[in-house]
Amino acid sequence: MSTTTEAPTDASRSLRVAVRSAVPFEWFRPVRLTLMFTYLFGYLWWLKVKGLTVDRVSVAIAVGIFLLCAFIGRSWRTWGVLLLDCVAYCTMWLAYEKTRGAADDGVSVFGLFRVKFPLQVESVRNIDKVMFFGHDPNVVLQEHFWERTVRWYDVVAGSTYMTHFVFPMIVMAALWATSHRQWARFMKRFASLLFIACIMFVVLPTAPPWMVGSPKFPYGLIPELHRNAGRGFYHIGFESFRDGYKLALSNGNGVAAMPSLHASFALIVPAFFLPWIRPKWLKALVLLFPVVMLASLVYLGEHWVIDGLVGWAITGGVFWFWNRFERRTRRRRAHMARACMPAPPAPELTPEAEVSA
Amino acid sequence: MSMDPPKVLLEASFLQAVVSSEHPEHDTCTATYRDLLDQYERNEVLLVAVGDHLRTMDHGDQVTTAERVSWFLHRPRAGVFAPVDPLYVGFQHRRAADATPVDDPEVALTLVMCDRHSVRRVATVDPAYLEYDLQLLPTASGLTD
Repeated sequence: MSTTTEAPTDASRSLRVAVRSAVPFEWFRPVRLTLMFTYLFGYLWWLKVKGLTVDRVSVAIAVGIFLLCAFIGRSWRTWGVLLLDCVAYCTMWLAYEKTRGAADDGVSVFGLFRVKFPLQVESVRNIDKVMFFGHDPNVVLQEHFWERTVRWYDVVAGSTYMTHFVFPMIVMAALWATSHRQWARFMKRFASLLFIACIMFVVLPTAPPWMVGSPKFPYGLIPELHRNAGRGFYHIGFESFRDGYKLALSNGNGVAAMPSLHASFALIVPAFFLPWIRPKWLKALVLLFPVVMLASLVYLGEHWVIDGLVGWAITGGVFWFWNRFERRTRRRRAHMARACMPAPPAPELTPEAEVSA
Repeated sequence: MSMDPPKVLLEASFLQAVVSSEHPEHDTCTATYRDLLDQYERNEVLLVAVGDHLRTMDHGDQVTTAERVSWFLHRPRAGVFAPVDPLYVGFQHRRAADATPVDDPEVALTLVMCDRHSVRRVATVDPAYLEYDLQLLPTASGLTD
């Protein structure tokens, strides 16, 4: 039996008082909107003049300023929740930055001894060769497309590559400002992905293609690759802004190729928004972005193809797990509620139903 | 456009009717609530209630400060209203409720929370909400649309 309401008729609706007119106007709402638009213009100005903020600390400051604009006039509890969220957010990035370095030095086991996992060099290259029938995709792409002058596809590849540093953070900030529930959903997936990636960086340190081909390293498995991922991005007039203090925080790991977080982050954002996108052609277009990202990473010599595929697989697994977990949570809560209520009355059986029964 | 499913606010009189088997609207409200639970399970609606009203259901009227603080920090998910999210009431909401021309302070507070959280559907058996532009549940009750 369904007892939910239908929308009221136009006649009955017209006699009613709008809730908005019955309660005082919330003056902070337009203030927040104005501040957020001002911030947007300020961000674009900064992008043009100073460049794209790419280091973690500068990005965190940029997100923090945006949140100040977006939360002005909200309740103290909302600010408290925001503060806790920020602490969790910073802890997540800090843990990520610190664990990346563990691959170089190994992992200390209770201070007794260190375990260092072997660097993967040939294995990933061989997997790529098997997938591409004996060819090295990085080498083939650079041989065919890399030129001294910057071409249009360099701009596409460079710009796509640079989105990694801001795209997920912009999405986080926008979700933070609009729906805390959706922000929490996104962050569960994002943090899980980062957590798995950190473990893999330590357990499976992998040399990227540019390193394997570089004469500075003793591998020499493939020809030397050009490495200038941002040249297409810089070519169209943008720069990347890095503040000096990021060096104090970043413990960059050159052998953190497996899995590719560039590929994972490029998939996690479209995958999150996919349920809200209705037209199939638009879904396909949105999913093209991670494909372009992986192609760019391979062309720019930053990752093996298998790095990206593993990144996508982890992203898919993370979505599968959390979607299932959230569905189960809803089901469990609903069952809990039903268990506390009296059983619904049994439907009366008609003579026909009794006969069929 | 909101990314969340539409919210349905369970108003104080509805919460009371669901838990009290003596309430004249108990059967209607439990039937409506069951229907809402099905929709919640399918992620078609979010169930919300004004924090003050939900806390009364969880703890009763006699609530200690420690319980109040604990509930405010993290509401335990248990009992008949386990799926219901509280809309926490801040000072600004109480001030706004005081400034409304509505006589009943609980109705005023509920209307403020509906406005601030973009709630369009309200489950209630209180006729005071009839005069506002809200979708009221349950239909089986005499008071609704």
